Amino acid sequence: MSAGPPACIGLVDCNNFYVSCERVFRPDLWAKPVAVLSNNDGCIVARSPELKALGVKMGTPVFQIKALIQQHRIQVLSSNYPLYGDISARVMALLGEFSPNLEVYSIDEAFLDLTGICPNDPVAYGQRIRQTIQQQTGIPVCVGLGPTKTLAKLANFAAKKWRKTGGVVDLTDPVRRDKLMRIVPVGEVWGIGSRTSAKLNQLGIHSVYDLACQPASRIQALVTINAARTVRELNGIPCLELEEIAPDKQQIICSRSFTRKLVDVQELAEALAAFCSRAAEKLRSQDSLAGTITVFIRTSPFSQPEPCYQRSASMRMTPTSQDTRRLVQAAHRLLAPIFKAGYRYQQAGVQLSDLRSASLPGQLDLFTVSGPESLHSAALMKTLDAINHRFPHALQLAATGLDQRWQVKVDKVSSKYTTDWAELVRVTCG
Amino acid sequence: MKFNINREAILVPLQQIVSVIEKRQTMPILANVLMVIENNQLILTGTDLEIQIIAKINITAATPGTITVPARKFLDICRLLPAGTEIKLEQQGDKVKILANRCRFSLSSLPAGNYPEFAESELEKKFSINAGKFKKALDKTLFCMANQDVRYYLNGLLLNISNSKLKLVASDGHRLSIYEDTLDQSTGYEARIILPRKGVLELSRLLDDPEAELKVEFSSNNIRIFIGHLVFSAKLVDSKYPDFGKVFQQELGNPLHIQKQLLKDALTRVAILSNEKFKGVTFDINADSLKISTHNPEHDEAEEELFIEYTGEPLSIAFNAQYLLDAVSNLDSELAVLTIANNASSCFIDEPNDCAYKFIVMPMRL
Repeated sequence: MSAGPPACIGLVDCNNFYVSCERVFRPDLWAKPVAVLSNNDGCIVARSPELKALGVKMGTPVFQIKALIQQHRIQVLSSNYPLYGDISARVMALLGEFSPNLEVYSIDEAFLDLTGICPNDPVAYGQRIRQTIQQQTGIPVCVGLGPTKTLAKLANFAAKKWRKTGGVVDLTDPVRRDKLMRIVPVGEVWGIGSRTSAKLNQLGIHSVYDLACQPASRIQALVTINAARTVRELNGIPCLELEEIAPDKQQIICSRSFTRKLVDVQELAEALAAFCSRAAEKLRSQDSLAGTITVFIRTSPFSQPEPCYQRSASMRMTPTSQDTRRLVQAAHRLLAPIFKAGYRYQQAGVQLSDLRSASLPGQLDLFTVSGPESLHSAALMKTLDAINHRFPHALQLAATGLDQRWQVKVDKVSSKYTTDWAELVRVTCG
Repeated sequence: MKFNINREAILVPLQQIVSVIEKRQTMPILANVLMVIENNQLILTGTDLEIQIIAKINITAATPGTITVPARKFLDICRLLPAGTEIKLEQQGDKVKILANRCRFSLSSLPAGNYPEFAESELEKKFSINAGKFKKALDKTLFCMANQDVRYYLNGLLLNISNSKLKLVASDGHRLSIYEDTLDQSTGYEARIILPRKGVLELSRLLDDPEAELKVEFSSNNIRIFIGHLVFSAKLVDSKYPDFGKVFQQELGNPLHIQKQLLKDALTRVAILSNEKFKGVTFDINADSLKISTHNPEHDEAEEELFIEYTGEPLSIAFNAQYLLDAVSNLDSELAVLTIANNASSCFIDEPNDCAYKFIVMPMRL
């Protein structure tokens, strides 16, 4: 077998993605410090470069920097996931034109297999990607190139960190690679978390270079096989394949903090029913069945001296199910024994785990009368999903409550510029 | 307390007792074996609070007393001494001294007074049975018991006595095994009790002498079985066993005859490429031919065709290969008979001749 062209993986990562999405439709936010908040407007989950320059860290609770917000006129926005999701889809569609093999790694980054596509000048190709995305979606991106996914990630880190790179870094050249790896701490490597990095520091491994010089076998013995894979990847030996088909989720969690604290079991039950409905919808969209359901409720750990309480409960679904009604029923059965009156509950959630594909042959049970999931149920759920897809939130179980006053608060959310007819941007000429 | 005993006399009873003692326990004393000297007998007791085994060994030259010592350490000491060694054991304060040949051990102990009592209600129902027969009944059924199922009554084995008829049933919901036999006596009562999973597994291990005669006593909460010098007790699963009668009310198709070994080999080979978790294999049954096939998420595929004796309608049905293998392996005959219910809702597996047992495997949805 003759060796093909040398492997080249590109990682395209959008800069401050949520902030960048907001800026596409709000040019007035350019060059200003901007923060996007998490669900329920709790913490900061995206920061513009100007905000980073003010020393605001990722995940900072917004109430801690109230003064700073006033002082620097920081623009604070609630998160607008329909907008981000839509912009992300557009970015990914454009990226698909640059490589036939694409792994959408998260909402704002994707790996591209560029092997043999741009053998002569990968940096120029990277610049074309950057310009195209910027021009056609308004989102600034950085491109990292390397023979493995881990090196592409590292290159992307460098492209983001150092302006002089022009937003594109290629680490195909081993000399360049070594130079960079010597100055980057090991914790920045993709796949090396804070715990692994602490362990590596103890072993005297501080820079990425230190790690890359280790024999993979030693790292496998001392840390994990995944860390050993990282060592090989840093040396340009691919160990991680491009996953073009996103694997099905192993678990689905739907959980929210409430606008006001709930004290009534009925209200909690309604909230759980709503979370179950959403989780079941996600479950059906990947055509899976849930084997286990977990319910949890908790009071706020920050409202001392109020008494704290948190509890969770799980049960196996026998037979496995994707029927909203059965899941809600199970959630309610789990809630009853763990609910304690007298506490003010701040958060609740539902987790579906032990998921299995509905298309796989399912074991029939001797003691279950109607088989695992009657056809009737499947058809009903399909219809429910079809209606709700066409008319969002049109059909809900009555168990989810009528007013849903526990709903999350979104004070400063921007418009659904691209996904709602009523909120399209209007342009007037003349 | 003080006694002398030969290693061979204590080793086997001690091993039988230690097997019920859990490796990790909630109460430290449950890791210990209770030793009582009384009427020239050494009585050893081990329990996990759900099951208890008592062994009685005749001894001479003993001073009465009671003490508990760490069971596993005591067993290891006895086990690793040379065969035939005379063991001297003596309590000294809170220690137990063990002398054997030129070895000396000093073992920590806990007072016997704190050893938990195994509460048993009055056991009013009784029957006796040959150990070999009972072991066969257990072995033909226990592999179908559930393990840690939320339907806790499935984590055990149904024992049904109906006058002189004996029936054992085990099922994890995916397969079921049923064994029917007669007792040598008429008991004059009807009873259904569920033996707990761990108790069943222990009991089957204890029945190593097929000639022994077992005395069984039980109530609705407890069972006690006398096996030679051993007394086995267990708390019963407090529940009603689910109704499995419907499975037998189905119309059956024509039986399919196949060499047991050929089927086992083919199933094992094909299952290599089945989904690791669910082990699904498809049977395509035609006149005189059975095609077993499978595939997995990695898109590997396997297929094998076998010659069978079958005259019914062609049909396709899928099973967990492991369940079929378990069932077929438990047949005593060389020939396996598979009978599939008419709407492909279950598969009955038994022998060509009348036999005391029958296995049912539920299919997988294709």
